[in-house]
This record gives sequence, structure tokens and C-alpha cells, in this order.
Amino acid sequence: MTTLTKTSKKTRKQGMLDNVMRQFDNAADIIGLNPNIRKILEVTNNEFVVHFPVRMDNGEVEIFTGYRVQHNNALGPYKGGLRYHPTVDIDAAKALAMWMTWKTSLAGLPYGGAKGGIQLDPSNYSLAELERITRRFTYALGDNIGPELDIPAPDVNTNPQTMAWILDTYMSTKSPSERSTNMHVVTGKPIGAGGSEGRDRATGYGVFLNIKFWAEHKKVDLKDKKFIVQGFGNVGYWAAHFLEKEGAVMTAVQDAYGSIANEDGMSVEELMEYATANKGSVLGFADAVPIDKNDFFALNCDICIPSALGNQITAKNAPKIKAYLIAEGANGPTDVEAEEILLKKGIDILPDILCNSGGVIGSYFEWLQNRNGEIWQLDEVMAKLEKKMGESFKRVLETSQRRKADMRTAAFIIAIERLEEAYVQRGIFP
Amino acid sequence: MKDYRRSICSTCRHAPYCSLTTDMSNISSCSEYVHHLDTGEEPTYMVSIEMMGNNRQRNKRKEPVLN
Repeated sequence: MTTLTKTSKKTRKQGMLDNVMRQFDNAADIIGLNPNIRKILEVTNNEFVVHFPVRMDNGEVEIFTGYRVQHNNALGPYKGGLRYHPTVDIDAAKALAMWMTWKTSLAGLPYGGAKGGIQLDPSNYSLAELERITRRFTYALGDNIGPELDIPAPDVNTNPQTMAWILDTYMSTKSPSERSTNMHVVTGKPIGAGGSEGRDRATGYGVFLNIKFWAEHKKVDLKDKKFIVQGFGNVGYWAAHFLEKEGAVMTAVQDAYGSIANEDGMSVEELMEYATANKGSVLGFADAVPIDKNDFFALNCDICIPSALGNQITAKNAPKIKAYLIAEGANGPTDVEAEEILLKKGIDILPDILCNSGGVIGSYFEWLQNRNGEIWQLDEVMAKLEKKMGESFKRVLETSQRRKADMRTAAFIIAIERLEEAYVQRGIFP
Repeated sequence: MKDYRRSICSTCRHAPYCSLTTDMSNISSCSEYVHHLDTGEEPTYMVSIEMMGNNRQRNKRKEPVLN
């Protein structure tokens, strides 16, 4: 039950898709992108909508709708997450798939961009039902995914377990001699099922590395520099962990529960230990005081790391920011107006597409290990991540200086130019 | 919980009191989002021998192995 949908000429631009298209158009205009290649990149290659039946625990059959949008594969197999959420639809998947194309291109990976998922609220289903839904979705996608075609990864409400189910189901559809050659059909797997060491910290480590590279370029010593972190999840925690090891001092944290600060600094590890024991909340940590959430971004600090969600730095709070570096661990934390204000103030912004790309690079390493029958130790993974992120940072910095553009624009220029080069060299079939 | 159209906040445990944002209309990713499977009992990884392939000796997290 696979249907291919045609792309509407009047694509509704909203939210994420609007942002992604605006950034693409801006960079495309600056480089004078070949109009024919612009036409190709503005649309998705494939959009799959699959309707599939699954038997529930009570014996009834329910029909689910799953999506997979494959935006572009000029540079390699499609790559992107699968999410389980009621808001999953073609429009949302298109924007996120396009975003993945730019991200993998900028990171210099041999990947394109994709995104997908199933429209459901996972809290309404048992674990056994979720397993059957996942396996039946994988079967419905059939050979539209594959280790050399389209490689899904965890996203909202999917995790290593989900990836293990997909892998097992996909492998089961292959002949026995082929099965073990398909381990890299998904990334983000449990370590025991072909996952990679270091995948948990890859995004946060990447954020830290970008700050480190920036500091080296600016000849700034990170020791004793004050930083604040919005979001103490996987990205925020690991970025803070590595910054602290470098001698920097965490002076404030904001999570979903509230904000805390201590201008003399607080221990990242002790806070994580406290939060873990306190249902994930940083509030009540003995070595800090609670502050008003509206004062968070105005705090006195050197580095600000928004690593939770989008549109957090706005025209309202941007003028009050005292940090001289914003490292975007989250996707789209700085809105357009705020960015103008910050750049005018001389504040540097490490853009999300560069700053939080450690995760997809970590996925690439997992894919490579599976593909080549290798197992890398943690230090090896981290060293390779540092090398890859260093190359990306250097390219963005050089382009930014050469084009006299901000780092976000430079990042998009690199991503699009790489795709343009592939099309120019290969030509358009027939 | 409100029906935040086009936002993952619609199923997030933090939404009623979230201090990060009051505009929950269009959130597509958030590091504070509580994964559904993390809210209750942790699921155990179920990994078949075939899936483990060459990594058979590296089941460091002691996932139960199903044949």
C-alpha cells in the first residue's frame, strides 16, 4: 500500500519549512545558484505515504499512516530520522528532510536528506503494539529504505530499541547470505546490535568542539570563561561536561522546570547527578539560586549555549545578551530579527547547522563501522569526530571571511555549493 | 493538555509548566522533550543473535539476547 504523492506547486510555507526555504533562498541568491539546480533542490525527490494495518493487543486491527520524505540524494544515500508523533505529516517531514540535506552536505558526508515517521501518539500504545507497528511500517517501506539507499535514525519518540526492531525486520526480509550485510540500514542502534560508541555524546561534543575551534581562532583561552546553557538534556549536558574539562565555568542553566544561576560557577557533574535524582529537574540544586526565566539570556557570561529548542533568542531578549559567543546546540534557537541585532553588536554565532552536526557525523561513523565490519573504540570515535568537525568549522570560517558573510550564511553557501558541484559534474539524466 | 497544532509539545510531559517557551505552536525539536518510552519503565533491549552479527562479544550493556 505505497502511494507516491505529487508535490503541490503551491507548497505551504510554514514554520520550519519557511525557515529552511528562506535560508536556502538567501544563500542561493548570494552564490547565484544555477536556476536549474535551484529548481531541483527546491523540491523533494520522493514522498512516500504508506497505510498499513496492525493488530492491537485487544485483537482489533488499526490502520496507521507512515511517511518517508526523501529530499535529495545527489551526494549519497538519504539520511534522516523517523519520529512517532501525532503532528507527523508530509509538510513537516519535507522541511526536516530538506534541512538534513543541507546539514549532511555541510558536514562533508556522503549523504542526502530524508525524514519521516508515523502519525500516532505513542502513549496510546503498549510496547508490544509499538514493536508491531514499527515492524509493519518497516515492511511497508520495503526496499524504499536500505543501507545504500535511505538510512533512518532515532528522532522524537523513537530510540535505539525502535532502530533494533527496524533492523531486525529489514534483515528478515533478506536471504540468509545477505542479512549480515545490512547492519547499516539504520543508525542509532543499541551498542549490542551494531551501534557505535560515543553516539550518545556526539552532538554535545560537537558543540564543545565548535566553541573550542572558535576560541583557538580568536586566541581566547577557555579557562575560567563563564558559560550558560539552555537545556540540560543530552546536548546541553555533554557540551557543558567538555567545556568544564577545558576549565570553563558553568554559571547558569535553564531547563523545562526553571532556571538556576551561580555567578561563581557550579559543577556540571554534581548538577547532572542532582537532576537525575530529581526527576530531571535542575531546580533546587543546592549550589545555585533560582532566577526568573526572563532574566536567563541577559545573565553576565562569555558564552551562551541555547541547546533546547527553536526561537529562544528574539528581538526582545537579544539586546540584553552579554555573551560574545552564541553556540547553537538546538535547531533554530535564534530568530531572524535577533540574529541581525546580535551581529550588529559584534556577537559571533556558531550556527545550528554547523554547531549541532556532531550527531549526524556520529551516525555516519556507526554506518561506516557496520559497512566495513569494524568496531571503533570510544577514543577513536571522538578523535575522528574532532577531525571531521574541525574540517567543517575551517570551511565555514574561510567562506565567511572570503564572502564577507556571517557564519550561518557561509554554512548554507558551502552546503549548496557542494550539491551544485555534484549536479554540474554529473549532469542531468538523460 | 492543549492541542498544540504542528508541535511536539502536544505530547510533552513538560508542556503544562514549561519554563522554556510559552509559544508552543510550532516546535519541531526540543532537547527537553520527554521521550514517551522514558516516562515509564525502561524498556529492555531485545536483540537477536543475527542482529548482533560480529558484535556478539560486545554486548557491554547486558541487553537480554533473544534467539
